[in-house]
Amino acid sequence: MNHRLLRCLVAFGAIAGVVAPALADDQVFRYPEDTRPTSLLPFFAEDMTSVRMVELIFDPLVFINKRGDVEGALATSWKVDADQMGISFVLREGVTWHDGTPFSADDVVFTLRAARDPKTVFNAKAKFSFIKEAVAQGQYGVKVTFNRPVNEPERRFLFKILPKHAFSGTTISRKDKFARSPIGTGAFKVDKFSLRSVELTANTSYWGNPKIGAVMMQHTPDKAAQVNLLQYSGGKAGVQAVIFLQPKNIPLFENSDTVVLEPYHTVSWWYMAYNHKEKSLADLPVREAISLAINREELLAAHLGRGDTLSGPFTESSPFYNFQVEPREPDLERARQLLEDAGYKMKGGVRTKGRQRLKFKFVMDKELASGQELFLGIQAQLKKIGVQVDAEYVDHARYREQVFTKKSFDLTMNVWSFEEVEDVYPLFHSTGVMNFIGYSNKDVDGILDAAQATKDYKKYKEYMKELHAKLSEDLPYFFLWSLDVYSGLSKKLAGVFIQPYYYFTSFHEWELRP
Amino acid sequence: MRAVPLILAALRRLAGSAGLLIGASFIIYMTVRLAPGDAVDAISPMGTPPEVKAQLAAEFGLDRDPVTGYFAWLARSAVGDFGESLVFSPGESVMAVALPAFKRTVLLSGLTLLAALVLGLGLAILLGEPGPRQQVLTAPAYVLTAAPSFVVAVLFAQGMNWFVQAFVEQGGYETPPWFPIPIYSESLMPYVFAGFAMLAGDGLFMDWFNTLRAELLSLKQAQFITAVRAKGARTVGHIARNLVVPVLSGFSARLPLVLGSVVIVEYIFTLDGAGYVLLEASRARDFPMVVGLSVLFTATIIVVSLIADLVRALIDPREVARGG
Amino acid sequence: MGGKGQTLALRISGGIVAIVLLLGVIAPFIGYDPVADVDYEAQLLGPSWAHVFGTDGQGRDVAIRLVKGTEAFFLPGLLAAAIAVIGGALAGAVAGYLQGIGRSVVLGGLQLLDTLPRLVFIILLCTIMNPSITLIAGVAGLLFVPAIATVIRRKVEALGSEDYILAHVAHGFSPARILLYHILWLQCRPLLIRQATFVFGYVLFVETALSYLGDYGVQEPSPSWGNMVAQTRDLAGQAPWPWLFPALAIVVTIAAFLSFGNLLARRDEEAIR
Repeated sequence: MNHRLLRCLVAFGAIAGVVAPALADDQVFRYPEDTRPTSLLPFFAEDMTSVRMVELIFDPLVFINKRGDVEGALATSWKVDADQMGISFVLREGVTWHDGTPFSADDVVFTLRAARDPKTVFNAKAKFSFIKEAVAQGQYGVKVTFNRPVNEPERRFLFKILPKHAFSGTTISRKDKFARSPIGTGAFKVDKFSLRSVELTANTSYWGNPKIGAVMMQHTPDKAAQVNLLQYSGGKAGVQAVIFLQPKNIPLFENSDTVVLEPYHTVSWWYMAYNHKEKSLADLPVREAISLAINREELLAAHLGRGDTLSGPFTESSPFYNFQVEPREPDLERARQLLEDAGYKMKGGVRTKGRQRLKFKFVMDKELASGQELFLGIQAQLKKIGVQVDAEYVDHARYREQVFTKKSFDLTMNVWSFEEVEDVYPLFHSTGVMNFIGYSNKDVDGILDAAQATKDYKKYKEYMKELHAKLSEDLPYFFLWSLDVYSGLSKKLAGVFIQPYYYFTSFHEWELRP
Repeated sequence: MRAVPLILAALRRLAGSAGLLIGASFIIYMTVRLAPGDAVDAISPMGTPPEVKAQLAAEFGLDRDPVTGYFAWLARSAVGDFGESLVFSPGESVMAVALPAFKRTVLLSGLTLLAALVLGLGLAILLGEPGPRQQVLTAPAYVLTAAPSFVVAVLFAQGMNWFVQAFVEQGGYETPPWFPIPIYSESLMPYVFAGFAMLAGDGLFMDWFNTLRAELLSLKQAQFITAVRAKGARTVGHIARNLVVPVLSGFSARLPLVLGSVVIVEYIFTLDGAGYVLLEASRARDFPMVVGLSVLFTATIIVVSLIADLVRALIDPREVARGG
Repeated sequence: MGGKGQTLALRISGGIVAIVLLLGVIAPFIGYDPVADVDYEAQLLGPSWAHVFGTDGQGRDVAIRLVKGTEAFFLPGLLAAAIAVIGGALAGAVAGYLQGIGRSVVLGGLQLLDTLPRLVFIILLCTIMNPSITLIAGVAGLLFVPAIATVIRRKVEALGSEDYILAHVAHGFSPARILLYHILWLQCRPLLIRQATFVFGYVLFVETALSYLGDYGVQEPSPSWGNMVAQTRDLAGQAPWPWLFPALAIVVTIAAFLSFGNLLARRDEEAIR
């Protein structure tokens, strides 16, 4: 009986082993993601997992290269009209879609028309609103005209081109099967879209000649598991990259033989938002006292690793950052004094003025990395000046509804990420579509309107610096940090360049050495 | 003669089961629809224009009030159309996504239960009559196997990785294809690990063992077995036949527990089963998906208990008279 | 039966259950402010005399949080056990007593509750609702009602025709007294104790599982064993103590509750026989 059992086990192990290998293991680049890709149809690729994958599968007309300049992808050259009311592109010849169909100007025209089709509903639609018409000029030429003059219009053609032949019309639905079986012109094509993984293989006819044979994205929501997979990346099932390493895990890889920490630049900054509809928070001294009580350096060092503390709504690498404005130094004494002067007296540990108690609902998005730890730190720091904050941790869908739509919060903390340069008009203008804090300040509106109206980039920069100084003083948000973010990459990788935001733009140049 | 009341009882049970399923689906549907936050919120970033949201809501069927929505859902799902996924896999039919995942989950749970049964039975037969020695042996086992299965899973994954790494570094062996855990591949290994964790946790195995041993003992002492033995015939067949009923009811009683644990264990071993889909879909508020999947879970439990009842009735007709 | 091993196991698990319950009772009287305990100077310190089990990522003392963590499931556990036992006993008695439509309605409701896949439903509920331990406890308690009710009903039905119960009825004892004392206390005690301990352990189990799956359990800064493990588990390689001790506590406690309930019930059953 024992022998039979043993034989059974051996047979079972053999089955398990035989089914396993699919690709030559050392030519597969595996990486985990926190969330599932919702759609690989570029219009609807709204989460970062999808954005990064779309980068591998599709090509834009032009892209921003390592030096920050515009470089041709599907377009080889372009010419802007003298009045800045149009642009002509010359397209790359001999490109084929993943299914073998040749790429032509019709596809570009189709993409623009689909984006402009009122029945195609997607979030980034506004990015296409400057386009009036697109016309094909022969097989490899496209002429695009605008509604209004556009400065450096080629920088607005970073969107991905769709294959006309894969759709029945310009109305594209979120439910299109294309979202799971996309056809692009990019360096990789989708082989298999499974429940929690997507397998891609190199597009051998790609002009950029990809060096890695296959890519496998694996949805691994558990950060601890991601770290494990990288830590043992030598194993056949290990991963070669973790896109975003949490600061607390960085020490694990600092002196690693197998993993290198690669800085990953992002245009993004953290903030704590005050709800200006809340009576006591509409009071500047209260906002200022809270901002003075929070020790950003301490929180940064404890939970986020390296980064810069900010004084305004831009990252330090941004052309708009005003270095003359110093970030506030924490000062508990002054914070207490400010509250005292504003009439808030200590009463049972919480400062109170009449019926107003400085007791706030702090709404947190569960998906915010390190959010819980940061909140606990802030809560402890604010307690010292008699301000009580109570957390409400809610999941992503609920957060959006509660904070952005219903505006039922007093304080919240989050991150804004920008694709390229920060456009803060929607955030702080009293009519801005992303002004969820009910902020309204005539001076700020004035500066933003003037900046929007100007065509002179230098002047625009000046306006932004003025805005920076104004917002630092008036505190619609408390501006927190921009972080140095690190990816963990296997040392087997070579030729790596991580594109800000899009990540995989130059992935065809990456190499995986055995 | 015996068949008529049996068929009647079966039909009555069947009708009752259908009613239960409808009731359960109503509770689940309402829970998902009335919870704060919906699928539109889940996919619309900040600054999404209201008209875009409104169109999405209409497309998703969220503009209908929940009660009307439920009856529309019920009418369609009665003919096998459970709708389309909204966010998890937009546009794909719910069952096309849910069924394959669910099959894996049910297979995993079922096989784990079965393995626990075989081991429990084996141990019960081996240990035989309880004596002080066996008690000393089984008491610690009792406590050890009562740890939650997902804790076992976490410890197992961490420990295994550490162990294999140390082993490979020491001996220069090649790493096994399933290393490190959690892995992604179509191999069976992650499922084997998950099955092991569930087998070793939640008190499942010792629970079977205890039940079966008690049954065995009472059977051995039962009068009819003594009678059979007195006739000089073999008793194994009789005992086996009489074990079918407790085994079946044990199976159907433990299935809901195992189907619950499997959700968390799947998360740890990153399996692509129904638990994974359920968690992801409920985060994304993909309500057709969540409802469809929950109904599958419920239906499985109902069907298994139905089968257990019917078999019980076939073996022991007195059950019919008692009416369950 | 009831050999030595069983008694030993019963004593050990009973001891653990008693300690945990005792901690649960005294924990509310220990003054502890989780907010004031945050200390960035004392992050992730190893075990020492000042911090017996070390400190966590916020510099908070793991030992005191472990003790205070019993509060997180003590009252909710009691609540769930109370709901399950009282609800189950009532529903079972009513279903056993009543005839006709009333009986069918109660039975149908119970069956409906019983068919909902327990953990799946709780996970579903907790992922879409705001996290709350009271919600978890309430739902867990409710979902255990049918299991208890079914057995009570069978007992009531079976006993209804037994002579001594009939004698009590003839004596003019009130149905409530017969039900509470003669049926529930004298006949169903082992079952009720077993189920109550099981439900209690289940609440701890669910809280831990939900914390692990994504902070759906007790919310920080209040400590619970589940959120202590969940928050520090990715520090496994660097600093094991903030998660190891609560993890051990969870395993031992759940195992003890489960075994204690089972063993006690078995002993009682034997005594009744």
